[in-house]
Amino acid sequence: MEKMTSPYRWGMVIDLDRCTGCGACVVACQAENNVALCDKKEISEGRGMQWLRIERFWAGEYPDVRVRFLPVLCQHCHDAPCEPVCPVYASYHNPDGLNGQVYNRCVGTRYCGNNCPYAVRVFNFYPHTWPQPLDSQLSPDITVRSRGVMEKCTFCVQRIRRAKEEARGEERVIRDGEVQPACSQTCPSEALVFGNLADPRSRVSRLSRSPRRFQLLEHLGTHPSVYYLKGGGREHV
Amino acid sequence: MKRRTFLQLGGMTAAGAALAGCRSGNEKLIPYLIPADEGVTPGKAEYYASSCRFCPAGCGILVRVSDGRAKKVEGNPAHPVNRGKLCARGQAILQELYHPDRIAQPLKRSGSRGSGEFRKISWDEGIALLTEKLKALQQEKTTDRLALLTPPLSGTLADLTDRFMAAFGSPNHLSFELLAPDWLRRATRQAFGRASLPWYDLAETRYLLGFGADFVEHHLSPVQYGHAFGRMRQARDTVRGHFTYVGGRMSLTGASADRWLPARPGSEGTLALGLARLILADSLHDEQALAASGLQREKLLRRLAGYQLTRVAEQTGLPQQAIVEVAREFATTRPALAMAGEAVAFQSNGPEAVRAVLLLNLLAGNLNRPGGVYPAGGGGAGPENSFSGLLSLVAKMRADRIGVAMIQGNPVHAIPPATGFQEALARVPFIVSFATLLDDTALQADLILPDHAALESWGDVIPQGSAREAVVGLIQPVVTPLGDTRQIPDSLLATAHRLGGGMAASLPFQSYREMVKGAMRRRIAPARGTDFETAWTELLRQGGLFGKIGSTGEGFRRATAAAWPEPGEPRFAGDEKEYPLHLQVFPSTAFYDGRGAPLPWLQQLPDPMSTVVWDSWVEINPRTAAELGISHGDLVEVTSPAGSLRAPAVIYPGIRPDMVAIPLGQGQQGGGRYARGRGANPLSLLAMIDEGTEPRPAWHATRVRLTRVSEKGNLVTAGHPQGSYRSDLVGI
Amino acid sequence: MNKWWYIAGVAAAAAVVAGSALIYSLPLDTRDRSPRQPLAFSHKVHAGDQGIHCLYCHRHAPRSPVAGIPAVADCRACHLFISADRPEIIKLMGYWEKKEPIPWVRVYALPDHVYFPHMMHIRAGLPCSSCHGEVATMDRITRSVSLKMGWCLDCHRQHTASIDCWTCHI
Repeated sequence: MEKMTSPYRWGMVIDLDRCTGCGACVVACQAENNVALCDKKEISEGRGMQWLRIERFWAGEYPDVRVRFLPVLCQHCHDAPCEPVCPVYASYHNPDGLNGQVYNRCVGTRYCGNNCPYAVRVFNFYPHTWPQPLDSQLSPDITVRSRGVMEKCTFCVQRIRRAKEEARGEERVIRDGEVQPACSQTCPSEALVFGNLADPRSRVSRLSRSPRRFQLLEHLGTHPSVYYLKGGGREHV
Repeated sequence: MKRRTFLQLGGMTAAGAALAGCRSGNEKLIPYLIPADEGVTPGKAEYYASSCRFCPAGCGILVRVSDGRAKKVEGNPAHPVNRGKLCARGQAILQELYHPDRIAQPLKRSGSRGSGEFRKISWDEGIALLTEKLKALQQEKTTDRLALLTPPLSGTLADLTDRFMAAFGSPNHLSFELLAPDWLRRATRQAFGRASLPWYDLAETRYLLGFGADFVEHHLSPVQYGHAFGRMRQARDTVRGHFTYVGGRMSLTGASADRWLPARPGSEGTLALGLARLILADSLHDEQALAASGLQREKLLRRLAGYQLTRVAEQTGLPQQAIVEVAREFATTRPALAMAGEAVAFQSNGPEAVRAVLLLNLLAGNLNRPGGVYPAGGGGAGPENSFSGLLSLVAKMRADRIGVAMIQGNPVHAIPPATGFQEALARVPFIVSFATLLDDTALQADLILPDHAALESWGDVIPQGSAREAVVGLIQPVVTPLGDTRQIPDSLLATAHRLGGGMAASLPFQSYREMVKGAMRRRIAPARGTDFETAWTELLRQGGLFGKIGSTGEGFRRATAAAWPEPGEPRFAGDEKEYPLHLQVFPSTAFYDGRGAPLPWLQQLPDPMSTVVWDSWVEINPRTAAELGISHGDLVEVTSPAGSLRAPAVIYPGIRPDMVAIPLGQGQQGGGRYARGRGANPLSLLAMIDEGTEPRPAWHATRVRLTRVSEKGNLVTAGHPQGSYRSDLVGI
Repeated sequence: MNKWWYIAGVAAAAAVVAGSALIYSLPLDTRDRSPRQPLAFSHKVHAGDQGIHCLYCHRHAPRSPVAGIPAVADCRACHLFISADRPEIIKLMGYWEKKEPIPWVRVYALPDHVYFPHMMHIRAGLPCSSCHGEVATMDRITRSVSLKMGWCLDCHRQHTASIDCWTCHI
């Protein structure tokens, strides 16, 4: 099979010093990607369907407590543990550097979700419905997943595709900042920055070279496409 | 025939029938009857600009519409308030539009109030019924028996309601909302001589000292300040703004602070004056600013003699060292900025404490300067004490002096019962609600004239306290209305026209859209000579009229007539022995004052600090919980002098041991399937403070006690129940 | 006795294998490739004899994922004057009078999990006939291509277009 190349290598930088934990990104992601509505019972079973979660850590004891927020989404690892284990090649790596999930191939073994060290893959254990007319809000650009299928953050690939279509029509490449996943578009404090890591002058590339950078679970060697920037100095009372 | 033949024939027929059924039919391909509008390409989406109405901040939005359905809401990049960003609640307004329990046409009560039994009626009938009631008042010459209750309004809707009430002859228009910043408007006028909300230049400041100002969740303009916060931290080379948060509870905003000062509730004003004294004592203040405001250091120090460090430390419960450090940091880092928020304002000494905090800005010399505080654009004029307006309306209703009440919003749920509001409202013979869902207020109404959803409406909104520029945001419908609903102003216009006479004459508009357009024409008439229709289309496309900075007139200066703020001792409802804990009710990111509770996306959004979903909860300090034998997730009963409720407990390290906190918004009896019967409403716990001089909304001045009921709190959290206590695992 | 069970088992296994092979190899395309339409619209007459370009009616193809079919008003615009007395035209006007869109039967349909953008293919310079056949010669539209994924991939490979799964399946 011929090798597919691409001028893009999508990545994201999450600046934890800017993140206020407000949760706008979480709701934006749900709205954009037809993520299911989950009731209390489902979430109590650990079967919530959020693609993006904000982990909150407490450090210290009253009155010297500090809080850290950590938005966790699919890291789109370059050496993704979820890819080699799918028996039907539903989880694969696309030429743009994204980890792709093809819903119509997935047969629901859940091996990929098991292997993901970041626990970002969510499985449709239940058949989800949207009471009318909430289903009028569903986006036609993205599949509405049925029961038995694994799903996860796609970096809003439908937006990337749309931007590529427009760029192709104008015979150019996608400009920096032209395509934004729902989460980074809505983040009030601009904590989430998305762009092309293959372009050294893009905002995300410049931020990814910051001395504050780190990656989640680096020692596992997954080589994520998401860089985090450490929150700044915090003092005690 | 033989059996074998029969079986063979039978089998073949069955197989043939089955195979014939296997053929799947072709789909249908249905064309349009008439082609789509010009500029609309089927299969591609369009974006329409409008404004969000979910909180008073008035952010600009772009709505992605595909095949006539709204799919996604984004911030409008051209809008000065939010610059393309949007908060969680703004993202969720799609679910207000497409809520499965929306009221689809006017309703008339058929059962008893609160039973939820209504009969569907036509608009003609509904408007006729309202007109009949109002006509009766006119005939009896008791037009002051009409009351109109709305949230604080701006722009054309404010104008319409003013005209309606004036023409009808009733003074009873109450513009009230639990979280309205009137207290800030008043404090700013008293401190800085201008009736205006302040606009804080957070992005350019280097030291933010926030006194309970929760700008991430709700204070003034969450998206605007969230954006500014990001810039304060990391947008400037080598400069990282510092943030110190003062408040007994570490709110979501406080969680982003570099230093948390858990001051005793009600002591924030004392702390502010103590800091002021330290700053003046070491002459670290801005001398020019002080001189310009006509104040003298020695005189001020004498005034502040009662606020020495030991006393302040004792009153606030904070270490002296910390107070001294913060004073020095605030005074020597320029520009510095002090903000006062709801957590301070809703104490019994709130108004004075807020002014004390504003004073710190004076000492830091940041008035009308980058990184400091400016008057916000948007006119400024607005209610300064709507709470006393509320109490006087309650008194009137109680005295049976109100015959007809028209209500926008959900005050039955969002006003503490201790004010007597719900009880007094029950005495009003005829209640009209404009709700879109059968919320608690609609359940008490006799007539429901359902409003359009925000995304189906026309209008304009003047953001208050959101920007320095003068901004008029436009609201336009992005989809055709789903049900047989009408905008509130159109219902009022129809009523006015039916009443005829002076009413009809004062509101000679065919529709609210016409009125909004006319108002805009007057606004831009002096500037433009071009065709208005083109200008109007352009304004709609842009999302509003965005002015320039500097059109707000004079800046802030110290009001010489201002009385000196003397916060005094805070007072609380409830005896300290019987009710040992302070209660703080807070608006969460998801629910605000309760308006977010009907929307499933917001119910399933884990609260950022507690990660609780689909519920209410009580935040308790770990030590206090241990003393009371309460574990995470236990069901606890919270009792105050005014009432009691039950909710699950969350162990919360970021709160004082003598405080507990409960989020607002849940505990609705109506509000659709997602909000109904869920959680508890902490407003029922709030008691009124008997404040001799003047009534004040002291929502944080109630004391409570806590008892464990059982382990069956049925609490569900999205994250690990207590969160991870070792962040070094993740290295952040 | 055991022998018969053994034979039955082998027969069952063979049936399963044969069935699988059959399912794999048969087209299983049970849609009607040349369905009858509610109106006897002839592409031969319009596109062939009259020489009307595809994009004149299927206007949105260069800009949108969907090519679109003409609205009833578009048909009426010409046929108010052209052949107004023919029985099929009278039927057409009947639909307009009743404000009822014509329920055309779909010939080219892809499953829901496939995204097919017309504008990308037109931008690539593909003539409409490469997928839709010689429409200008058809009185009644007949589909001759399989529309199976393998068929799409063959063309994509030939023209070095993207064969990334996520181009069509997101």
